[in-house]
Amino acid sequence: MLKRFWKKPLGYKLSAVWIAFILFLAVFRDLLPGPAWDESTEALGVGPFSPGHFFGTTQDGFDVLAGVINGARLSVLVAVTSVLIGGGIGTFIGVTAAYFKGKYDRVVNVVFNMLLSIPNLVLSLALISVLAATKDGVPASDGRKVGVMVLSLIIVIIPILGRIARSATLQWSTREFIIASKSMGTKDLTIIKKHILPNVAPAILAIGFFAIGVVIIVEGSLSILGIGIAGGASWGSMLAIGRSYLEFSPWETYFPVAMIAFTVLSTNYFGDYVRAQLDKRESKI
Amino acid sequence: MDTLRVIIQRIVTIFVVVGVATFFLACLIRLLPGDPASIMVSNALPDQVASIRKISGLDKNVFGYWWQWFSNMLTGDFGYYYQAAGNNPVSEILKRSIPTSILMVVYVQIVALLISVPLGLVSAYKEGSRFDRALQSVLFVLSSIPSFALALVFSLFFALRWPILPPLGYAKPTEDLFMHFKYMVLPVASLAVGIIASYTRLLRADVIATLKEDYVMMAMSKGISNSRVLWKHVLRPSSTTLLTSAALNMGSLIGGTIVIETLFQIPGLGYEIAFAIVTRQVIALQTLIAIVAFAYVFFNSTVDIVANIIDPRTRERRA
Repeated sequence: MLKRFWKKPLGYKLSAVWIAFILFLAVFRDLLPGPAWDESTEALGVGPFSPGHFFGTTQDGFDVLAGVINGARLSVLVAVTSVLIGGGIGTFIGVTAAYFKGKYDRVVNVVFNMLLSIPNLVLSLALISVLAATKDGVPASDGRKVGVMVLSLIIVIIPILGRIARSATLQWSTREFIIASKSMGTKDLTIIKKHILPNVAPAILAIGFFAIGVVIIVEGSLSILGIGIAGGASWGSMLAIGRSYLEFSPWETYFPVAMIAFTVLSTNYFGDYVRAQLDKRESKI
Repeated sequence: MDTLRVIIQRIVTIFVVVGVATFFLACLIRLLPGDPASIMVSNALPDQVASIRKISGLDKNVFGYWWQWFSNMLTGDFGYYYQAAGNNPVSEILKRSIPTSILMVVYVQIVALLISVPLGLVSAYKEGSRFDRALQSVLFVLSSIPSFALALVFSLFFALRWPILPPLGYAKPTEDLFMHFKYMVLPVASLAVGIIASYTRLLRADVIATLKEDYVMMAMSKGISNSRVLWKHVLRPSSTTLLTSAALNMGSLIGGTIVIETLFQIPGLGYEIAFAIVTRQVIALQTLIAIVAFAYVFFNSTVDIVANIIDPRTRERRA
């Protein structure tokens, strides 16, 4: 397996290493040495590469390196859960709609088109502003905000991946081997499981990687707009705080921005790579 | 006759999709915990809440509410910002913010096309060369960087460290054209970079396909200069995908400028959406989102119709 990995292009290796690194940070955050991310130190606005604070500190004295490491957990959590759950639901709806066709398919198509007609950031804005609202105007707690964000991102992801699953299934369900299998009396569920899902999986996987990037960017955008996660607990929320001090301590903004950019770059690379492999395979068939 | 049918079909689709989308938004508003009227105006008096409920149709059920709002919009009544001091019509805000957003989107498109067309032609012509491979990698990286990241980097370098451009703000072109362009440079640049990358990649792929056609070989063997062949014979047939996606981008750009408009404090549609969210003006928010959705669907459908008229091949493919 390692041998196969070394034969991959450079971008593949870099992206894989970076994603592994981010996952490592997200999982082992608490075991890493260094100052706590949410405890203010006496060093206010210290520049990067200073002793004890490798990435510097914020104007409020929080260690930027610790913040960036801590932010990995929330950003990964939000991105992975929303894409996995949203992708799962979207794939299920898309595949069944394209396979069974009829009224169900037409309804699904209209709903997908409607959801896709609202730009994804606007849609999640609308959903969050409604879902996170409380009766008496008190801001929602952070835990609830994360839940609401994941929920609304799931709703954003469902039509994106659902439409891909639907169109891929439409292509495959007219192939001869599916028709043959149907005429032999194979159960629909078995056909979907054994013949359709393995064939549409690469297309969904490619878009799924892009979707992770989309989710990370939306998370950052929501924080900048002031309705995302607050208090510097995620990358987006770090840069939302840091951008007010851009002139005095730009590192406060740059490190989280760099984390977002590299992570999106890596997932986009994987998406692109899977799609290129897919095109190669399609052209052979 | 066929074209006419497609146009009618498309117009019906626009209304169905926008209708369903706005109904979905109306349901969301009704799902809000508590009364939307008292959310919008904090500490409102009971009779003020009652009048808001009456004007906005919140006293009806979801369908009645949606129909009143939707039919009012068709007649040009876009609802109100409900405030303690009185109600401000949303149409006032729209008159100011829609032209601002459209101007910005148009600048982004012009800049993106001006840069990506020559880049795409050259890199396709030199397919596989070192220049092409380097450009592809650079463009891939650029297309992955979120626009707000670029906006933050640009504003540090070109507005704070080396202050040649204003960090934020906006001037109307009718008031001060020079300042208008100065204010627009950074936001347009941060939005355009990612789009340049995707346009160049699209055009490159199509030009590579066109270059393999026999008539290009013919033109080249007649001794026409390479640049003339590229610009006169290759660009036009290869530009359909690019133009389609440029047109499709119009709608999504209007929505996608929200963060950029907020970062640079430009009073466009996106800025107003963010403002409506912060001030909890749910009904104005609903209207603004509906307009973005309408623009998006409208551009998509127009592209389809125009492509159908220009290129008859798309008709056969669809049939």
